[in-house]
Amino acid sequence: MFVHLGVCSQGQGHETTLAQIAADELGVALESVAVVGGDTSLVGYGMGTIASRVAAVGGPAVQRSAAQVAHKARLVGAEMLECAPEDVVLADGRVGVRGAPGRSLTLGQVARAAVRSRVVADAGGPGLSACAFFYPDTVTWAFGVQGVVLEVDLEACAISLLRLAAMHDCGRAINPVIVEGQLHGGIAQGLGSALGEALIYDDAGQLLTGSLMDYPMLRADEMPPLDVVHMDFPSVINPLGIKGVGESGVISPAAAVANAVEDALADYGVQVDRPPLTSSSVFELLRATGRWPIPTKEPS
Amino acid sequence: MLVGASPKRKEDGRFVAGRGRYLDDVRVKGLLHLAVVRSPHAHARVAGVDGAAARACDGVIAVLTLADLPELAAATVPPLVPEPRGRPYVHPVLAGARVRHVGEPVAVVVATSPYAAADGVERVAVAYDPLPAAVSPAAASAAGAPRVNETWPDNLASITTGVKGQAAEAFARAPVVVAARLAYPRVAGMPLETRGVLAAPDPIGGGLTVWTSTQVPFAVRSAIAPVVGLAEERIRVLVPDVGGGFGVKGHVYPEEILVAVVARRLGRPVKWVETRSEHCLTAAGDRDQVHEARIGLERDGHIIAIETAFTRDHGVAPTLGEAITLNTINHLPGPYHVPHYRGTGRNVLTHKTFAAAYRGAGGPKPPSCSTGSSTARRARSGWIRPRSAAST
Repeated sequence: MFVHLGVCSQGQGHETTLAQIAADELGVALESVAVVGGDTSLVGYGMGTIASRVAAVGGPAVQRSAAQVAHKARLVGAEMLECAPEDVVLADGRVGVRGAPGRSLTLGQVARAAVRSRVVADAGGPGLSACAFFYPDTVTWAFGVQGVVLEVDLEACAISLLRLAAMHDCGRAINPVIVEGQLHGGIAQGLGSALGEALIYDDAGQLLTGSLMDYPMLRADEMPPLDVVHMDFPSVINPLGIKGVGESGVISPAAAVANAVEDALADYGVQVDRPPLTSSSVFELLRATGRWPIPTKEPS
Repeated sequence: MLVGASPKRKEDGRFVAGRGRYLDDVRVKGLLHLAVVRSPHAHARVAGVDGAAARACDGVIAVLTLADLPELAAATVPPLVPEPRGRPYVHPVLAGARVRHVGEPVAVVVATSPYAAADGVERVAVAYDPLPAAVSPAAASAAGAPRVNETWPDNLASITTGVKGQAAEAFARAPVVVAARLAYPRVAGMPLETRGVLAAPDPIGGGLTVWTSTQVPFAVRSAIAPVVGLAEERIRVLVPDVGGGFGVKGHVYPEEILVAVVARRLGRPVKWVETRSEHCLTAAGDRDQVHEARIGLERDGHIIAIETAFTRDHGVAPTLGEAITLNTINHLPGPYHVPHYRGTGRNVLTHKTFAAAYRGAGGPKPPSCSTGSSTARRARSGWIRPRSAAST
């Protein structure tokens, strides 16, 4: 079974998640579904893999297309098995009759017959294929909140992240492990913005951060342990209840880190007005308070 | 039911085994390699381009400027989000008489290997007359600031506003008002795989096949079609495995049009793969906002009103129009109940690489620090109490 998409993947796992949706509609194994995107000759139009929208907009389109194919399979199956389409059951890659376990065909046999069968003439034409689009009525948003525990070394002005907790609701998760991965990746990028990343230009417009030596992304050894709590309140604007998750993790870390640093340095009255919080910016913030460094006692 | 379960990712077998097929893995017979000569100035007049020394390099097939590619004279990189109400602008694919940001393409070198193309780029001599540049919204908004678009009276693309309730009135009666100037710098997605494009003229039918590392293949197709003079249906855009996008590949880039035009012009397949340095310099960043924000509170910590006036630095072209600014305005109150709210974003052009969307796209913004930290600070000092304490 092929699922042709108007959108393409950049590593999100479309070949798995969208196959899960299609496989459920047709009662086939995940292994027998091949998801193919990224080719403008396959499908008439696709907006793009942007704005956390593939699962929430592309997902229902896959479901709708697969449901139309399932309908055609029931029509052809009913003709072949001499029963009513309502009594046709699609399960385990087979087309069977409700209440008659012995009577069934493979979906492949039905697909081959569907090429010449006239019963699909008014249901989309020959073969077990269909193309559907999904037009959402409005947007849907994921929700989330994050908290971070960190330590500020007052001599080195260095921040160590000890723990980060994220609670979020992306509606119904197609694949909870992939959702968890989206959160982890987003949080890592958000922490990059919190602790180091900035494209800095001089007054003449020259980029001063032109390499990854100057634009420090978060390193694996800086990543704190994560506690991710998933809530599940399905969206009402699409039939799968999906809210989208691609951008969920990245939004909060910079604010959470800024608040945590203010809290850690509350005795000094530090106020953070921008990310990133590097050692040098923590140093400048502390120095600006006039209360740091703490005078050291002369050895007696 | 498979939905809701977590079967292992079907694609990971090939990724883990090193069998992913990314843009640079695409092999086409007779392939030429393109490298881009980029402006070292944020704003300058281009007095002349001399490609003679580059043409003499081993392996160099062609050195091309705008003068050699008249189909690009009127070409523009289209916005991802068209703004019919916005001021018209042109985002050149290849600079002509003027460059407007460091990294802007000025010429291309095409060679039989990527190394020969890179060597050729070093030998292209471009004469520039530097001009004053405006590289921040503050500088670009000053009286007499150098203009990014000569046809505009100033550098303001648009003003985006969102209003709920009566913010001004609410601030007048708020017992606690906290004001802050807050900023979020420009950041960008850094995918493991940089950008890249391969365009090949179809020997049969005269169409064009384009492979590109993008999130928006249909937008790329629509952008190339009018410039090369083909119906969209005669252009096939293919997206191989992509090693990360994060929004930075979520719109059309000049190079996608440029490589297609050069391939058509030479009648040969042509590939360009972005270096990491080019990515840092020319891949579209995001955020880049400065907010003058204030929050009005009851003494018990209830929020009465929030107001922010901010700038978004779009660089040379408002590629995403008002979309990111609107996202910021719409998401800024977050989960809080804010009865009165006003957000005003000024979309300003500067002499920097154009900005677009990076994962989060308007979600991460500095006043989320403001609402959280200011309130928390006051709560700690006993000045105000958190809402939950107040309502019990």
